[in-house]
Amino acid sequence: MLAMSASDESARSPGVLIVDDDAGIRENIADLLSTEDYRVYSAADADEALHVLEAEDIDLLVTDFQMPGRNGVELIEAARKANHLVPAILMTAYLYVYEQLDADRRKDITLLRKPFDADEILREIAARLGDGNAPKR
Amino acid sequence: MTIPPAAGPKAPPSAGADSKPPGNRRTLFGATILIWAVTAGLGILFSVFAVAIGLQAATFDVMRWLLALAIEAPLAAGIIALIWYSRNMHSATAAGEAGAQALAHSEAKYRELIASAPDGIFVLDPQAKVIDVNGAGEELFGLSRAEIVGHSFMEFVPPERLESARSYLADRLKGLRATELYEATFAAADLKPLHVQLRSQVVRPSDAEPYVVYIVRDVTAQREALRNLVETERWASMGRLASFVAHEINTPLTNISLLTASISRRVSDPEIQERLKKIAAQGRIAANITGELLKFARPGAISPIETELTDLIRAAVEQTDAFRKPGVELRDETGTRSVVCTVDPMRIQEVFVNLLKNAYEATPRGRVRIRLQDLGSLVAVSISDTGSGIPPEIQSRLFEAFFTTKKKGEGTGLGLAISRNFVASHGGDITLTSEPGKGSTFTVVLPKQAPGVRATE
Repeated sequence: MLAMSASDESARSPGVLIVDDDAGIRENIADLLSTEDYRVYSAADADEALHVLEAEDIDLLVTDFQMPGRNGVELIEAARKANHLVPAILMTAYLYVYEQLDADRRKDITLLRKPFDADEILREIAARLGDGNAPKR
Repeated sequence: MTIPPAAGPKAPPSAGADSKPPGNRRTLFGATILIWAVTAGLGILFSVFAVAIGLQAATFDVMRWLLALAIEAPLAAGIIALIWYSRNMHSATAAGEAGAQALAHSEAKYRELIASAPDGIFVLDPQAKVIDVNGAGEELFGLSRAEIVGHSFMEFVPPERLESARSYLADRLKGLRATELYEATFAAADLKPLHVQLRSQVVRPSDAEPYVVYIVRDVTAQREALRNLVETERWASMGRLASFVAHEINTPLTNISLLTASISRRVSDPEIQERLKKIAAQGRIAANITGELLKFARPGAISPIETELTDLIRAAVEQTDAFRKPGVELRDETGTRSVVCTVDPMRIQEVFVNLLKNAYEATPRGRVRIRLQDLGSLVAVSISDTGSGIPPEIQSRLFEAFFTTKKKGEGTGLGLAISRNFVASHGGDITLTSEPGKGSTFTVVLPKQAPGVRATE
């Protein structure tokens, strides 16, 4: 919902949406990303996330798997249906939820196994946004 | 000796089917002789009496009558006794024959019943000597009848159970214990432990020594099945607990790591940076533990694909090289020949990594060898070390989850348990041979074609 580091100068910096029902994870990822040149948005569930996708210019979706209501995979698929064709990172401790997806559904979903450390998530985010979109330190 | 004990508790083991008629014949014969002798004696007495009376001026008629009585009475008595004897003899013989026949028939019936009984039946004398055994009993001990009968039952009882087996028999003979189930382990001929349930019955014939009937049922398979069930349930509940703990701890761990990194990016003080690095390192250790717990708790379905096994081994060797101590040589006997296997590459590589890491950790100096053997439909990958070896008492527990010989913080005790689960989900097996002081060899055997996708959950 909240753009943590959006400013006029960084209007063209990549927009990342963090979706997690744990407020701590949401805030801490946002806090970490705000040290780099990202526009950071966050949402507590899939419905809220879809609203943000609608309203803002999002380049990457980072979502938890297990959340009240729709889970992370369902959110990613709903976003695709709504034509938000952004790459997604799925954060989960349940490796099997990713393994159960067929190749087509896995397309453009990167798995980030929980627990992860700051370096891992920063690396994944930068990789998914591609070199062209990678923020400058 | 036959099997009458079970034929009916009333018949003593020594009682023959034809023992009654001769006894009866003797009694009848004796009775006849006695009757005849008494009557004859009375006749003689009468004769003497008659002569005495005649001499003392009695009438001739009286004397003649008495004389006739004295001669005829024994004769008549003899005839009556003879008729009586023959009549009795006849009926006794008839009853004896019919009885013997019925008894023989019933004995055959019972013998058949006992011979075909699914439980082992042993007839013991009070000194525990086996008097008789049925077919199931022979089969139970894997011994022939001749090897059991005449021997003490205690010869088949393992030494550690001998005392309780003896006191059980003694108590039964004293009438101290009721017919009850008694579980015991016996030493079968092939040395595999035999778990049995035993019921017994003491039979006390009125005219013979008591004897004991042991009915022995082999419950080894049931016990094994029960043990497996308990074991499976134990692992399942442990898995649920592990999964719960890992998930609950994951979120705070991730938060600690994210916050640490955030601070690290905002401060420049090298002392604080140093401490933040330490926090991050501790976080990684904790994360590693929860990661292992989750792999163990829910290994998930395997995704087998055609995989070049030599590539997997090479990757595992590279991944573990950091654990190799300076004085340790790695001998790679993977060869250059292609070996393709349908496996889940991530999981099987993890198995090799676990085994290589363990081998390096057990080897301060010497050699670690990895060898790949193509066995047709199977492949074997063995990892040997020249390390400390594993004592036999530890070998049996090594694949147990949470069992570790490593120092605190160096291992979760899950590596081998996870590896075993992964290999088992491919339809394979991990075996271990080890000699303390000489080293160990872990061998992973995998089918080239994994039997479908099997969930190991």
